[in-house]
Amino acid sequence: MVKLVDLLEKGGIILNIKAKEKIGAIKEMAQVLIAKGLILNPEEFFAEILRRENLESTGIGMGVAIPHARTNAIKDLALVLGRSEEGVDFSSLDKKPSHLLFLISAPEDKKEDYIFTLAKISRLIRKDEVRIRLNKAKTEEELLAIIRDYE
Amino acid sequence: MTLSFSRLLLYLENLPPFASEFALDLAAKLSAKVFALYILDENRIKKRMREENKEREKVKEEMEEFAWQKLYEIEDLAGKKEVKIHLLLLEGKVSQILREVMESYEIGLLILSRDSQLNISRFLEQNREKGVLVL
Repeated sequence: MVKLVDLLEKGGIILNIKAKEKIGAIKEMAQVLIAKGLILNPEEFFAEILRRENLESTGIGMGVAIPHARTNAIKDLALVLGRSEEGVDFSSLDKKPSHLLFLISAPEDKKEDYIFTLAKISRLIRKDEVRIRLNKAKTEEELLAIIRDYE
Repeated sequence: MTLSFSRLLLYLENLPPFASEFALDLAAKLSAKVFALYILDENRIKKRMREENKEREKVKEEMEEFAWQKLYEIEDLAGKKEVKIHLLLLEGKVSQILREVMESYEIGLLILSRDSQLNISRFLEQNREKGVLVL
């Protein structure tokens, strides 16, 4: 079974996203995956993430956004958690900026794990206490420990 | 009565794959936006607590995760068909939530499965002015 902690250790965590807008924030998180050699075709990867984003914003409210896409531009299921103190405008229905950003992607043949990961994160972040703790954590280790606690 | 089909509500409980495909194809044809809805029904939570002898939180967690999987499966399919979709996971009484969502999101057509737990004939009787498609 897929573990979020394992995915984040393989993918990455950005404690403070510098970008102030959606596309910049997505690119900043994707850069982590590119640096680790997980993305086969960066252009195709961005295009697919942005295509999905244009269909409907992935800002789900409560200060959370989950940009995601299934594309063969990535080697394997991957997850990056980015945090923004100021918040990034993801055009959420509640109009609030997103402070916790989860970038999820997987190749076409990893549909089951991809759906499972999306579902797991969505379930996790509905809990107020999880969001509060994730926003307050000071280190990557602390963030991972919080996710491990609720997984 | 005039119905506008620019917004479709897809109630996912027990919805068979052919019905999801049909609903998304219909949305694509109508250039409509789909609101995919899963409801955590209070009665089912209680039933599972009794049957499985589990705490409420545990049952809810399991049901929520299952619900999100259903929602993201339909979202994934919608993405491939270039259909705009918004996911909703709500908790409460099914008939009441369906009514509330149809009103607040100005839904023109509700699509649901004949195998959903909802008392369909009663729901149709109480919502005569609304567009409902049972598959």
